[in-house]
Amino acid sequence: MNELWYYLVEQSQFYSLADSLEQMSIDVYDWTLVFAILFLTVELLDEGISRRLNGGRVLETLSSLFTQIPFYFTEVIVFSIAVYSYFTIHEYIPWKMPDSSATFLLVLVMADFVYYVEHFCMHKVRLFWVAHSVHHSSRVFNTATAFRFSLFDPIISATFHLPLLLLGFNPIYIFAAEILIQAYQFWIHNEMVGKLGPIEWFFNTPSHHRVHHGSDSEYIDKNFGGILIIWDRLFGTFAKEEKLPKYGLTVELPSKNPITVQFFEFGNLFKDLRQAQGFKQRIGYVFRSPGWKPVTNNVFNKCDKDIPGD
Amino acid sequence: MALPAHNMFLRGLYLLLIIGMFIFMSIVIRGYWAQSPDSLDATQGISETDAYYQYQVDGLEQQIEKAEKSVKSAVGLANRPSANIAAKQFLLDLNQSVDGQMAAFWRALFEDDILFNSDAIRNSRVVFQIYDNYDHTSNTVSVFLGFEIIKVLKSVNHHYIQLPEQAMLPRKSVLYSWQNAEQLPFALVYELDYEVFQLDKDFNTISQKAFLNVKRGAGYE
Repeated sequence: MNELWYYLVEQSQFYSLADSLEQMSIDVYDWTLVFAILFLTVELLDEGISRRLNGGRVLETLSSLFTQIPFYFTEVIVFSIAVYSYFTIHEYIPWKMPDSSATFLLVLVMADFVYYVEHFCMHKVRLFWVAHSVHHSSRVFNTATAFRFSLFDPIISATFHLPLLLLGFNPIYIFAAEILIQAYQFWIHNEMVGKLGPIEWFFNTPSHHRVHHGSDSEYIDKNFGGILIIWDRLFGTFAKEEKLPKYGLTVELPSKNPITVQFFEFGNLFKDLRQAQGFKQRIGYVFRSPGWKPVTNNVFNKCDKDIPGD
Repeated sequence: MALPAHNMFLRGLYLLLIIGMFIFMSIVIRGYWAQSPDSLDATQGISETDAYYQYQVDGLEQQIEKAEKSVKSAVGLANRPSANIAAKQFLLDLNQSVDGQMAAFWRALFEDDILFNSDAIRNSRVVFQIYDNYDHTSNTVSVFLGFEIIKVLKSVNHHYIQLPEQAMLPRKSVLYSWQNAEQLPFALVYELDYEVFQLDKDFNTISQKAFLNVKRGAGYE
């Protein structure tokens, strides 16, 4: 008898919840992309009819879409490494959470909280901000902005979800939750949907996310939530949309060239590191907030003149 | 707070698209949720035909419970309903790679348009794999792969097997059970043992159950 066949039968015959979740999350994400293309088509048509569409907005939209090319390459590589690493680590974890629908719902809520923390850190730690600023650098806010990513984003995401793995959750549950939260982001990048009543209390909505992309002083570093907005309400980072925000960074990018978009903030960090005096200052530039400057005796040097968007 | 001016029609279309997306996604998720083995919806979103097989394939525990009550000595046996099967016949050489042969058999089954697309089949997502005529000398066994039919299939190229209503020993795999027969609580007949595979919409295996014929006599009742 062929032992391998028995092994394969034993391994494959039992349909598992994890298999189902994996396939479901991929299906949802794929369909979300289809809908996102429809959303963007309607938005561009609307801008055309409303005479808001101009060369700059078209270029900004195209620039957002082009960031997907380098992002996709690193996403494939990093995700492959993450899958292998997560499963390898999971094998060595002695405590494992049970596989059930309830466990997945718990992972989904916890992953949404991880998303909040990760997002907060992306805005508050310069090293992460240089990558995440790509997403915020567009002056146009439409569904294409949801596609605008740094090629380094996947690395950050894989790192921040490690605590869930260490709690003993099945890696597939974690990946499925991540994918669903990411898929949710596609419908909240637009100026077509106004406020949504009671939904705004609990869920992240286009209105909340417009605030997040605003470079206005009252909107900077607000509304970090993924699916749920309750994290921002709990931790004091929530801001209500009172006026239509001015999108983008506080310092506008010099070009809409996708390469400039990808690396502009890296250049700024590099300049700061070159002029830094000593190790402590270099660490400060890398790990402190964007806009951080070393304290000097000269009070005029203390101002945060280069605070990036949000 | 005012949004930029929009074309009313396009804005309405956009809002409908968003609502449509959420409805569509909930249908997609519910489809998977209904399949979930621990889902409360597992028995709610399925058709009458599926419910029949749900009972047939997954309701073993209840059947075993009944068997325990009615036949004291037959603990562990499951009452199997009768079924008429239309199948293709193959010869499985147990000296060769079993998985390679099985893959070829399944491929041949799904390439059989007459059988696969017939309206005589009760459910094309439930495949019966019947083992019969084990030959000790050549170490081969006939394998019949097919579906339960609800009416006569107009084809002379297929075999028709009537599985009788009887108590059978439920296990995971027929061949594995045959190989480890000494560990089973009953002696086997090695005839008309079969496996029932439940497939999903993409023809991936959701579950596999094996049912083994046991010898009537001492220890059986």
